[in-house]
Amino acid sequence: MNLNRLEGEGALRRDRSLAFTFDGRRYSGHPGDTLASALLAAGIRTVARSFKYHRRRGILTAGSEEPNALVELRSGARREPNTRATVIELFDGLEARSQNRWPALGLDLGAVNSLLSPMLVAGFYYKTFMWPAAFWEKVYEPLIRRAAGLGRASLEPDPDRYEKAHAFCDLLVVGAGPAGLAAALAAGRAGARVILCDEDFLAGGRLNADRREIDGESGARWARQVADELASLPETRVMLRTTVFGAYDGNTFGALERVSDHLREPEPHQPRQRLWKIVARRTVLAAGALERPIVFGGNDRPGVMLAGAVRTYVNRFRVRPGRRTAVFTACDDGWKTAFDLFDAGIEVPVVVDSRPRIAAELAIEGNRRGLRVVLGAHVCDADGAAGVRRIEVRDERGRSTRVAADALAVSGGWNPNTALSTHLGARPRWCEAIHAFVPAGLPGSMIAVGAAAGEFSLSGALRGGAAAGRDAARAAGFDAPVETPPRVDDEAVGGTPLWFVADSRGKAFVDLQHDVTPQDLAIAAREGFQSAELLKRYTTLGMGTDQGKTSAMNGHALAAVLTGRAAADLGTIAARPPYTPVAIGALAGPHRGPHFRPCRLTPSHRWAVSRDAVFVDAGEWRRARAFPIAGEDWKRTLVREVLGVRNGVGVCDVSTLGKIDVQGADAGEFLDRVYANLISSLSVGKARYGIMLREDGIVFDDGTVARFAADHFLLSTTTAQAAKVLQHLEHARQVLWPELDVELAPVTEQWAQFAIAGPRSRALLEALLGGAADICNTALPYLACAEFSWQGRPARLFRISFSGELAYELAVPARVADAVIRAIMTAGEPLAVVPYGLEALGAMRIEKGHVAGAELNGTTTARDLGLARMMSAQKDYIGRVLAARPGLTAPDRPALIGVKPLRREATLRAGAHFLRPGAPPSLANDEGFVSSVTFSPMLGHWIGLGFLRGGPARIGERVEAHDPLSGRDVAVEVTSPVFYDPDGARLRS
Amino acid sequence: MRIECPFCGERDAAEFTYLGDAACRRPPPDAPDLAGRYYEAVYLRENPAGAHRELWYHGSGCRSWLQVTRDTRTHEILAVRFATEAAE
Amino acid sequence: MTCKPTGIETSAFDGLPGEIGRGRGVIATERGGLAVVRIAARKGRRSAMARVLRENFGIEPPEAPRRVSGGDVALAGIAPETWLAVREGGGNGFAQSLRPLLKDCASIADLSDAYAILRLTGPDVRATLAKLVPIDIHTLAFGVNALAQTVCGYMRVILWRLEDCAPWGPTFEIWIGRSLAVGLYEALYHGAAEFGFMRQPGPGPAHEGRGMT
Repeated sequence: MNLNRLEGEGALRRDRSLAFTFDGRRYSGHPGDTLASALLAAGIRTVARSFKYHRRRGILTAGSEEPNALVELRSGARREPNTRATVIELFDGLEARSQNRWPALGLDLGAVNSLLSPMLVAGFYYKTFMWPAAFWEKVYEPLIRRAAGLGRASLEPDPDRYEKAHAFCDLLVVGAGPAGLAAALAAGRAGARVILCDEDFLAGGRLNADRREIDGESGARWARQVADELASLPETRVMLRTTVFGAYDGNTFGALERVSDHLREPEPHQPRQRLWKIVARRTVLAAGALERPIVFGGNDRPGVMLAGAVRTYVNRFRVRPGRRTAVFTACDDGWKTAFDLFDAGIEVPVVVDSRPRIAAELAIEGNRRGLRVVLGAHVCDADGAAGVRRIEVRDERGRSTRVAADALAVSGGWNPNTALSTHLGARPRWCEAIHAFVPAGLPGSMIAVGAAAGEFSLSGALRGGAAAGRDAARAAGFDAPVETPPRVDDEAVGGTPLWFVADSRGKAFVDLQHDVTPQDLAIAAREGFQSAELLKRYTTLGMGTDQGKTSAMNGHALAAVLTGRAAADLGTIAARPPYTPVAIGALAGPHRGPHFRPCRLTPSHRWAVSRDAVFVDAGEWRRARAFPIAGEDWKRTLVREVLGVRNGVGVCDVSTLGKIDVQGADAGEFLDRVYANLISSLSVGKARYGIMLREDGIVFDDGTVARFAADHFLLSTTTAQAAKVLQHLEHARQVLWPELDVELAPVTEQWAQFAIAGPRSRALLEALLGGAADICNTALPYLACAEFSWQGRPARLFRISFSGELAYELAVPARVADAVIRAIMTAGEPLAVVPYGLEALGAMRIEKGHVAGAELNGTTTARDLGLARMMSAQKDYIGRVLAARPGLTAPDRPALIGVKPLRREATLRAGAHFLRPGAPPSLANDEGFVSSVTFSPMLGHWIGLGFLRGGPARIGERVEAHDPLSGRDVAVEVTSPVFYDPDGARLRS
Repeated sequence: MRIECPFCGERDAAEFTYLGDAACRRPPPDAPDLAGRYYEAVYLRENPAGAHRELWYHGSGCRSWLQVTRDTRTHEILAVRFATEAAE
Repeated sequence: MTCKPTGIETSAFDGLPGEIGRGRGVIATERGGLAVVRIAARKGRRSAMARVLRENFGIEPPEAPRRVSGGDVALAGIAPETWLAVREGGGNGFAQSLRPLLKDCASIADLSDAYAILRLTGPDVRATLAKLVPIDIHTLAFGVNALAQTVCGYMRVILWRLEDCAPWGPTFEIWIGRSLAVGLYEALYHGAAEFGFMRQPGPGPAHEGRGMT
């Protein structure tokens, strides 16, 4: 069945088989396989269709840089598009499908795009679909989207969990190849805290792919031994299946751990993936190098594969890419592929090296194996309808030979993997010795080693890694001795770049994922898009999910040639995080659905649940919206609760208001400076309404201030602004006036506070408190406050009212809140007490014209709110000067008014804009807006508050409330904002 | 970005709230051209490329206001001290 | 007629599930009945305040975010010139007893009811906390008696490390504003599930063992 599987173990467990399907057909592989290696073993060559031209594509690489072999993985809610077959660890029951083909991979009608290719060149979006404009949305875009594009996302909710976690270390090593292992070992043995990450599920990097010897044993075995030793060190953590995808400021790195992606589904209580934030004192970049393809005719045909990847498949996965595998190289490394293929018993029909001369040892090794070698030559075409069948080799003198081959290993040299080195803004430097960019300008805490630094020899990688590990350990205060580096064999690592074959036949591709051709680059160059960044955007070179890992360098080099520059001068683009795609679910972590953000519960929450309250999330808090009785609609509940309060007594949890305790010798002076009105004149045992402005003169927040002692105040803030007010006050205390003696303590969580409101509220409190506090009208008049001891616990009573009724707020320690609310209900039972929710609270405050969040909206002044008289002229305070600006005092500013519909049965809507009757709706005619509305149980119709140009001077006028969202306009009468008990008699009774 | 809070130690920038230029001062109430001075203090900001002294609030930690010197080009934190000390 | 509050203090964790996963990687115990008082030195009166605390409790207020204890009272630095004083039992009366002692040299606020507190121990407590808090809790970076105010998810918490608790190992307490107790618990419960999580019945004020105090 697996025609192309070679003998031997490699890094597989051959004793076990794993079943999987691709496009519905059943295949099998082994533990240790990737989907790509298992497909190759089964003889599958075409695994995808290309993005633009729908050309057949195979497997190019053996790593995360893969541009071609993108598949849809899994099914149902777990279906994930655009996953790279080269990094999908095979598991039993894996399902994968090819994508971007219709109706089938073998017969794709979209391939007709290839015939249109002269039209689909760089910039075609910008040029072709210009006119008529209306066609873009309706015709062009849907058409292009169907033809181009990649996989399909699952539209179902993601069934998996994701986690976030934090880690700290002395040394983060990115990449567990030879250099990374050496670095981690040197630092780990010294005792430093080390984290070693690798995206692969096996440590060793290219040691698993190449036949190397270290200290007389195989490189793969050496890697396994080092990884085992690292895992045994108490302060070292080896994280495989973990991609360090981003470098951020402050030595912080993002890493994605694929906890369960190698399983059919996550184990119980395991997340699918875990997002790590790693803070590292030092970082060693040992991310290796990426091999670059050569651009030649037919270089996208299935069967054309990078030479290093061919060795990976042969040595690690025991798979042959074809029966007859030719080699086309511009560097010494490609020869290793030829030798490994030959030694594995695979026919190598020809080795084509673009260099006229090669190192003697390569020639000797080639001769020893009897390889047919053509020097100074290139492959100008790879041909075959369903994959490579023959190649055309053109020698120095231009003579062409056709060679039968069903696979072609290609090496244009290696590019150090510089991605992480550029995330913080550093630009790589051109290194002429290796004809590639190397990391440069790194911060002192970061160093690149091994192939990532352009050091391509194994001995150099081991030496450089160990030195960097030692340095990091020493920097963290550990004693790290110099150890003798392991013995390794020498190797040839030379090369001369060959970016593209100028006399290619057939279609050549620079960017395989986005189907960018040399012709596209030529057009861009001709049209002036010559910088690397512009080139990218105009041609889409490197803009695929692979971010140009295999294409950017070739593209830039080609563009340099086209514009007569050196590759070094054109430069390269800065890579940005993430290095490889990261699921949005991983970034969100556990914060989604009901856990999107934390929800604060009020002290009486459990009691409210027991009363079948309906809840509403208001800002951070979940509050009881209403306490409906079976069969009631929302309006009936509202009317019952409001009438219950206004005619009797009601109770409401108002603990959500912010509470800040202010103490100190200068507390009064401090509050005078932060409130617009005078506070220091407040008597002990009294409370006062106060407003705070921002320094720009706009109202910031309002609330009450109570005074318990000469040097002790308690502020309340609005629920929404509690944290901001504390921040503002701390700023005033620490930054503006550090000389004042004032201390702030947030005490919101300490006190549960219940509003007890209505004409019978005093009777309820008398029943509840007994003799614990004197609450008669003389002892505790309107705006008085008292501290007292109740049942051996501290309690506070405030005679304040949001509802406009005779009302109190009773504060008790939060731990006894549940007992207290139940006691209130018991005490109130003979008085027919009603619990009321946010809806009734809001209705009553609108009936009374009290402003709240919708009015304190960050654009309104005290004057706008009808509170101008509160701005003290006797003192300086935050916002005083700028509140007097002409713009904020203009008489035509919209100011607070009330509105009621002329047709009493009409419904008002917040957000409607005021227009003069008959005026067409336009910005110029806008006269203000409705900020809050409610059905008024007392008046029996809808009422609203709003801001109207000219304000209270227009009371009695008729205006239109225009609401384009609902499409309904309501004629309203402008009224005083106070609809109920305008002289406040009920408050003081 | 990481900020070394003088009280809590080094923390992720997400624990802090940014306010801006630490050089902005509230003009004294008896200064001439108060409106103009306030306009400058509230609205005009230096935006240097390089070292900049800024106010940050450690709202998720000890609630200290800090004067942080940050290189706006590299996000390197050059110095941190309590705003109360900076005001002295 | 006087209607007394019928019950006693309620736990913020009442009714939440007590166990998930296999094993005992993390064991949580609710800490109840603590008296907690915020003490902020008045301007220029720090040494006078320290003297009172020394004379009454035999402890010196720490300069750093750390905890020191003496007798049944512990002091923890939570901000410059600001401490939490904690006592096992004593309820809201502790603050009232401190007020006259520290009159004019410190501002006192009772926070005995403000926090829901879980003591966490077990072999996987650090691995679990790494999912919750963005600070380094390695034994070298966060020693016994260290304290940190930080965030868990988007919730403010106070985390402190106690003496290791045999046989379970490292032991921490996590304090959260009472209104957010359920949110913290859910995060903890799911984060610890892979290791096995169990909440022991919440002890009352008479809980044994070395705690905050």
